Amino acid sequence: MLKNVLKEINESKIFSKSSIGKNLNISESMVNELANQLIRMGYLSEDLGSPTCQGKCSGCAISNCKTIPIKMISITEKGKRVLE
Amino acid sequence: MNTIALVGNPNSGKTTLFNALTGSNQHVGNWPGVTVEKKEGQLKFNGNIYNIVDLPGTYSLGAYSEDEVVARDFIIKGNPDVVINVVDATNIERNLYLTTQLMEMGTKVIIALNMMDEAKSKNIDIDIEKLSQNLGIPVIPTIAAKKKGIDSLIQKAVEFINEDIYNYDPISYGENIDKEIHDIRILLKGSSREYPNNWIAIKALEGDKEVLNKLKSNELVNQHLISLADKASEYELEIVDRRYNFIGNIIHSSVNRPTESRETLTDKIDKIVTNKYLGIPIFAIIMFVSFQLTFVIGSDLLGGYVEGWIENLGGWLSGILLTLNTPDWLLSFLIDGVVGGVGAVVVFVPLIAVLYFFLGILEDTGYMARAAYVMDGLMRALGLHGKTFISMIVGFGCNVPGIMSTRTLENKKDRMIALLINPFMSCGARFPIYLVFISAFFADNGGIVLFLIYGLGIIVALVMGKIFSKTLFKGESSHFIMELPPYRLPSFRSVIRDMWDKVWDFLQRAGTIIFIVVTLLWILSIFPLGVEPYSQESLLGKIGTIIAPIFAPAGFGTWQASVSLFAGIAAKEAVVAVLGMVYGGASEGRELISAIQQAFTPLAAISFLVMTLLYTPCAAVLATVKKETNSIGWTVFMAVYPFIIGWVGAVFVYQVGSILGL
Repeated sequence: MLKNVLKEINESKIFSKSSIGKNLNISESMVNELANQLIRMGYLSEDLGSPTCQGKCSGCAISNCKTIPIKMISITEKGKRVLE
Repeated sequence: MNTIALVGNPNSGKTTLFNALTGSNQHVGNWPGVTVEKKEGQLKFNGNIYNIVDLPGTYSLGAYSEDEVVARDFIIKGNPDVVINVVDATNIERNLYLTTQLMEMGTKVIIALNMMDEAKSKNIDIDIEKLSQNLGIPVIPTIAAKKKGIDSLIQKAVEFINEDIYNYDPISYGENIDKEIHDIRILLKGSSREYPNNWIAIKALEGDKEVLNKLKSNELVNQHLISLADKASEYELEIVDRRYNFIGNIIHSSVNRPTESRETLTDKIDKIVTNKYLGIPIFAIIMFVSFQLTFVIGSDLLGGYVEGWIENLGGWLSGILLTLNTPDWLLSFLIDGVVGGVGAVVVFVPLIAVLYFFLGILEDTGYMARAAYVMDGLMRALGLHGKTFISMIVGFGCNVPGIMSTRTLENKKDRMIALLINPFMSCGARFPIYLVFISAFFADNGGIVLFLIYGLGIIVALVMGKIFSKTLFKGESSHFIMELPPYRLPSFRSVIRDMWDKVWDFLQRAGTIIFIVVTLLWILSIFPLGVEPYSQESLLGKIGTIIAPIFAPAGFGTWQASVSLFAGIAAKEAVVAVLGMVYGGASEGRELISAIQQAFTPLAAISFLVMTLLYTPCAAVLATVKKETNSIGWTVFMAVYPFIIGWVGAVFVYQVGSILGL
């Protein structure tokens, strides 16, 4: 399941739990858990787009700017090796 | 005294259960050698006292964090008489993963299936008996927050202390791995270990660093594991996979939850707004409508108020100063300099507020994430990293955080390109410049012109990004995918607060940086003493006259326009402030607009807008580039190359426009 989720993520442009769940015939909550597990195991990495805006940065003209709520997931080198 | 350990995922209600079991009989310390908090307490039940240990919240018992190591070490080395595994009934898939690892350890465990009330409210129906039967573990439903099920849980835990029977079957990891586990167990036979051999074998195959370190002293096992190095990732994934398969089968037979809607409203909307062909046009239409509404509401409905206030303030201040026989130089500074300069910028606050209001709504609904997504395809086609567009969106507010947000790009090539093209994104500080010129020449088509300016910034950024990726920074961009948040109704309070934060920041800058720039330029404008302030004979006029020929081919080779662009390198808001000053007395929006109508032609105005959009970014951006790249070379490059692009663009627009007779 984990490898299949990794493959699905690799072939997708959007991380959609519903579409991965549909393709693999598993629940969205299971997709969510498997993706989190892949992150914990270092096969995926995630970031939230704009970490620099989470606090006041010295020299920032607009220190109160919002963090853009876009979660981004990348496949790590470890993950890429599994997919090869 | 018997010991009962509590283990569970973070937020499973473990600490609430601990408090319910121990009441006030608890104390807090630290686990030896680490900074992880250790909570212990005492439970009195049927005349006996039990020691209750609250282990750190953890998702698994690997070696990924200190919490995991502390929890598993206590379970194995601390020899608790029974372990209560607190499982969140609303998130059972995730929580049972920990349970499978407790089973691998051979732990005497019972499950407190907590938050049953929340599971019920979410229509999650759990067959407790079947779940217990499938796991081979007693399962007690609880609602720790309401102290429900606690007595049954204690009763079962106490009974279980004296039982020696483990009812659960070991999980099978497939023929190959089961055989490897068996082989490692044989190799470990006879060696004295603090952990069970079966568990050591599983963890070794899973690549658990702590276990592998401990096994280095065992030559036979070590050699065997080295021979399996090629299969390390395969085994790691397979073991974890088997645990999830095991969980999946159990959930399938004992948990009934409402059918998840495979296509939500968000999915339906996304099918349209992120469509391959419709995505970018929809993004363009949304931005155009936002700009158009900004003009309709910000200028036509609200614009007159602030203009009136500034006008009244100027008149009132002038009257008072004249009554007090204020010297002419101070009168000139306060009225022409401060009110004329700062006022010329402040007068556009309503438009800025309305624009940020609409951008705030787009962000709060979750649309901006879709905008980044639809642009991702275009970015990739141009050889740029999709994350670049996110830093570009941040740059719409201010290029400083825009450049800082490029830190999320791991690849140096991607990061440098994103950083170098960010200043082409039209920041809020340039907005008043556009507004002055649009109001002067294109008032009837304000939304379209503003849309085209922002669009031009994006296009130039993408073209430059493509050029950089083909010349200065060659190589492949790394791949990423986005998780788009579900759409939601925007929170009016949050949008207003965000808008106010940005307007307040704009006003603060008007009151500080612009004030300083205005003061410096005012000083330049009154020297040498005796000349007409703000005249071409002043020092300011002379500096402008020296620079002006550079801009003559672009159609705005006047000393006033040149000085304003020069001041804009300190802060972009200063461009309008300086125009307000140098067109003496043009303090109020309408007067400044009239002065600009006389000084520029419509074609020269477009050329000037192109220049201000693209030329050298402000000092704060250059300082950020220096900080982020730690290179004077790149900082100088950032100052020079946009100037050249801006100048070429402005000259092109003016010359081609002139040939076409515009």
